[in-house]
Amino acid sequence: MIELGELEKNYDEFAKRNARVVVVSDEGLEDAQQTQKDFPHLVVVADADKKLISAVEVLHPHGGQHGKDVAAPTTFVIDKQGMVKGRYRTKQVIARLSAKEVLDMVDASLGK
Amino acid sequence: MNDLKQTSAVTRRHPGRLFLLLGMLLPFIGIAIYVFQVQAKILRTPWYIPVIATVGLALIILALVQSRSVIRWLAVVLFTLFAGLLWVVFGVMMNVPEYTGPVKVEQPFPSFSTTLADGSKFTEDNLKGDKNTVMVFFRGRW
Repeated sequence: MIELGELEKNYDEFAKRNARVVVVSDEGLEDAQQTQKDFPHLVVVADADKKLISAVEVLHPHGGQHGKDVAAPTTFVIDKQGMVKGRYRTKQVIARLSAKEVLDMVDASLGK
Repeated sequence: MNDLKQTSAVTRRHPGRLFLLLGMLLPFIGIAIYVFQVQAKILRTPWYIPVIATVGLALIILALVQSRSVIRWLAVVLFTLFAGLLWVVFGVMMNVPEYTGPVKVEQPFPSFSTTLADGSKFTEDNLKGDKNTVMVFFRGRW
């Protein structure tokens, strides 16, 4: 998991910005527990019922393997008051922000 | 000197063969570069794959212009289909729709209730506190 691995590797940079990284997919609890073990500094959400995915409308219908509905790669920056400060949606399934770009987004959204 | 004469004789007998071989090889070079890109953990759309395949197709067409044969015609058809498929895959099938949901900058994050990996509840109230949050939606184990 390159994307999560890069975020995990840079956790101290996020900590310097007083930010935690919450990662969300429609994994079931068991898979999410494994993901949490693999990436201990990230906060892993097991959104198997797609409650959060539906609430923020990031579902990509038939976007996954074998036409499965999945969460579209999307990143939000939220401040301590729960206000949205930044939003990014990738244009292509296989493209992602690098950890550095996410950090730049945090700096730009929250002010360095 | 003799080698040079022989090579030149082969080129005369099979004009454009080098273009044909290079043209057929190029698409696979693009794919090989992508393998290295993933190993380097660079998650970018590899537009160079369809571009290189198209350059390869141009070389195959050049080879056909220089000397026509059934094999070269076949190569043009196959590699046109291959390059076309790559453009469809990268230009259409891999597109993600634009975000049109309720999350808007400078507005409160919408209400939700879900579960963390440890089984505890996680709601919009947990976003308020002493830390900022970066929320990343990811697709499976990529």
